[in-house]
Amino acid sequence: MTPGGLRRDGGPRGAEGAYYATGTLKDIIGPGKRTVRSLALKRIAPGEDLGVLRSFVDLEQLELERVRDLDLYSLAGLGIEQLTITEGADLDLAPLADLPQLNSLVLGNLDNIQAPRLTLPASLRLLGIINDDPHLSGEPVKQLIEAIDWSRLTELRSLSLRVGGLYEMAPVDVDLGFLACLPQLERVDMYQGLRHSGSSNSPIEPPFDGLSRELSFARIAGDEPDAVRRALCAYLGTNPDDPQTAIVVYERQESDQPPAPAWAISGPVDGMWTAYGSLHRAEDGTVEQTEYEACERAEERLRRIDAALVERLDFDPESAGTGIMATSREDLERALALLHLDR
Amino acid sequence: MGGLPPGTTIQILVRAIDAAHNIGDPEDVLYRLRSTVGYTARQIERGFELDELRRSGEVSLERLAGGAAATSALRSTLKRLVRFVGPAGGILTFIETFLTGKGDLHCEQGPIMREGKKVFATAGRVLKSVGPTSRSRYAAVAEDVVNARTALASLEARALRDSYLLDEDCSAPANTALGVIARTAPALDNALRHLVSLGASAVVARGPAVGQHNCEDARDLVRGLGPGKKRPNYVVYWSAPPPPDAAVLYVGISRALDRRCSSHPVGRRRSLQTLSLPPLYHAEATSVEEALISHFGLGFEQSVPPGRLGQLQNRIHAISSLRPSYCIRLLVGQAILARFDYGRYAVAYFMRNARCITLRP
Repeated sequence: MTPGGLRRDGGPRGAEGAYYATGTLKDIIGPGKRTVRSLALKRIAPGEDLGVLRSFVDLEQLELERVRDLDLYSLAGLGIEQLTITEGADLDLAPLADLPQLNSLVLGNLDNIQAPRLTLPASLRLLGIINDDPHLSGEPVKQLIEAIDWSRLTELRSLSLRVGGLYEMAPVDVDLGFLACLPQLERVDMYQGLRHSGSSNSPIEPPFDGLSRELSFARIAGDEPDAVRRALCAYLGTNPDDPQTAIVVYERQESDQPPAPAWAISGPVDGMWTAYGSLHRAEDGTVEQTEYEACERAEERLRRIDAALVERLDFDPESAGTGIMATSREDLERALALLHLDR
Repeated sequence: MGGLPPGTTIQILVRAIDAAHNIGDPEDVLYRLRSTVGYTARQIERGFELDELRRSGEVSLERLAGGAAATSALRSTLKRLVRFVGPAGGILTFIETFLTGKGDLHCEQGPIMREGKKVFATAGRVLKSVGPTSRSRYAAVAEDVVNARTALASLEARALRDSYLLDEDCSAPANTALGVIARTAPALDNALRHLVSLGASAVVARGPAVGQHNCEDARDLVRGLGPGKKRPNYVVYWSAPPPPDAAVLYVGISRALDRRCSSHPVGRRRSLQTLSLPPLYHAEATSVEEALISHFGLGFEQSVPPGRLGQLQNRIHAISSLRPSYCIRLLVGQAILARFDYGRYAVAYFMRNARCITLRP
């Protein structure tokens, strides 16, 4: 039995037992002699069988990235403790109920999911459901919040629910009353994109009815952030003036205006026109690739087409995006067009 | 029947018998036994070419427990050989399992010798190069140190396996290797700390920190730092700034902060603030950015040890953990933070599956 298709994750100093595979599972017939504790499967072709994972008896952490139309029922009964699904589409999430040892579940940037009723394992201690992508909506987050049987999750310690943040997205209306089912919560991160629609008071607004009193980390949003923070600190019995009290209330940011699209040209400021967006995202990069590498590739592509143009442009990348600047709007428009960023 | 002195090469024809009573190929086993019996402690040293390390001044071979063990193991092996075989010239015929570990035919020292020779020679060369390193060269030398350290860790895993699996006679070179590694690894770690500190001191020498700026005075800041690529004109910023640490949602870098401000949504723009660091080169700024990301964590990323999600809105790391230079660049970022009173953020909890040494001794 050979572990074909598996690669060590984390580079030359990767953690023991961490592997990944990309594209297909067909070359993988099992872990071989390796002890595979952590496995990331990326861009696995739609419809492929995850059943091979049954032979990974040491598997504790599974990450599915950029997957579509996979039958998650093949995961049923596996002993994995951590599951992360990001950039997933066309997935039926009901099988998540059959992961008896699951203690950590992260669902990010999902699209077109099925979860009519979701009974997650009572062992769950960490749950994150986040959609933050301008090409997606907050609907899957709303769908999951309404599908989950929260009454079972009495052991949950950490909860992150969010729509937007890095990108501006329309908020969703959900009944946040489920927070009353989570008495052990120690961390709650719900500062963006969730609007309470229940008939009773929101648990994350004064007087915080039903909110766990065990919280040591809370990030929420409010119309009067200072007053809400003081009220929440009082509710939790923490000192609002201690700089390390991890209770944060951001000013609520909700706008009915459509967000500015990526790569919109602005300026000129001091004679420079600017466009900003993520080149990494534009080339559909994975989490191991960086914006800086995407920027180098974009510059190289442009240089091959129009070297003189590149000399007139100024690239200012950071981890989340790149600013492209030019003294002439025409140059900037041409660069965006050549990089197919003007669509 | 006199004993054979250590270092004697004995030509023996051996058939090994495994647990299933299969008789091994005599020629094949002959080579393996020759390589086992032929090594004295000094030969092991020479095989590993430890002279390079000795010259670096970091390793004293005389103190190596492994060396002594090798001699003792060799004597023991020879005694057993002589007892069973008797002295004779030419080819001896001998069928026994004791040297092959109950049928284990892997008593072969060639691979660990070959690997060790390369690894130790490189470590010695790298350690010698650390002392005279200038500030401008620290990053390249540090990368050599990290690579040497990684190779050492890999050799250690192999030596540990051999030491555990092989019998005393076979494991002498592995034990020697472990002894050398036990002294060389800390020397490399210290060298790395020294180099990283050197890198941070280059930033210190560059001039005063820029102070904490926001979008309102970003234009003046950018003008003061000057335009152009490949210059120390980068700033690192976060939004919202601490305290509390939990408030931080976003980290980034720029050498055109005024224009970057206009690219961000209103909420982020309002609370954005630069860290008070000296003006940085791009690579330094990226290292600091990664140090902050690995401390606070991406929004979809789970911490090590597990138990919480990252708190940033950022979606990807600044430096790929798959890159060989990841750890050294992270360390440089952490060292810069530590030098400018941001030491509390020089601790990484979110590095995906990379595992790097820390700055703390």
